[in-house]
Amino acid sequence: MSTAMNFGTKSFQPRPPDKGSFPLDHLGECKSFKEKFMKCLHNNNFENALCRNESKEYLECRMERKLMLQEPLEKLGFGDLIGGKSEAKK
Amino acid sequence: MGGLWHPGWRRVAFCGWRWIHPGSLARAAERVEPFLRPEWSGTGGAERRLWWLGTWKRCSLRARHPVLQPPRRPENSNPLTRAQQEERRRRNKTTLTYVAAVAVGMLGASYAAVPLYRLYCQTTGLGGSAVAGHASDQIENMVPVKDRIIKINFDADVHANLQWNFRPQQTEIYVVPGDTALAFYRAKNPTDKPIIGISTYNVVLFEAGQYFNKIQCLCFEEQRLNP
Repeated sequence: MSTAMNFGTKSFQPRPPDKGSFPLDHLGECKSFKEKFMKCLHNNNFENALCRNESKEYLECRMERKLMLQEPLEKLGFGDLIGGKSEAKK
Repeated sequence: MGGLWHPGWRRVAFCGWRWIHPGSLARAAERVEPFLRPEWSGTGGAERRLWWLGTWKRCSLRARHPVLQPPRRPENSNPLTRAQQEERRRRNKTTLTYVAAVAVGMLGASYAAVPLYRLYCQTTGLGGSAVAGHASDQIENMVPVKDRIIKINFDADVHANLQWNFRPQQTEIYVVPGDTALAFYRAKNPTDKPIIGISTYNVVLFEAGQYFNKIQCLCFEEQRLNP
């Protein structure tokens, strides 16, 4: 990273994540959600935009299992998915 | 040789006597005399021997007499120079005060430079440092820009001492700006002892790294992996 002693080159300063770090999923509680997400990615040629539902479900699993702090999903960037869900329910 | 020596010896003896006790003229002559004997080593000459005695330097052919020198005046009693001296002292003191103030100012500036430089970097964005605008509450207001697709390759490096198997689960991912993405890494401890490790991340290219905002990850904290 910036261990090479190059004077004058730009170096990368890693910024700590906004919400800190979350613990590892040691017991594999959310593994099924993860597998679903990975399968979706594989199928869609690694396009993230098409698999956002699965990623949202994974994060919800984490939040339920206390592996992640509860956050409203809009804050995580899934605001459009929630709005779409409520509309579909109606 | 003896004849040449005589006049010098007499003159020299007089000089030598002036600095020795005045009553010991005869003794001084006795002291000087053995060194001027011809059989002593002829390489040095008379000057060196007399320098050995310690009086040659002060002697000159024209011996000084106290009466002939002008009397020395003590400096402090002259009224003209006293005012000058006080003026000089005052000026010195003000200069010293200025210099001390400059030194203290430099020290203070070195302490103040750290936050000032950070502010400057943030406003001008020099060196790829964090630009204000990475606030996490802006995430909900993000609108994805659908026509710019960015391909991200994932890579994992492990330190040689750390015996984890650390791999990304996806090699690449396509995102667009204004979108959040999820990425998975798998870490496995193949040994039979628990290993604690800590991870960090970086984004290459460095200029692009400031446009990525990490929301949450497993990094920057020690994680313990059981076998």
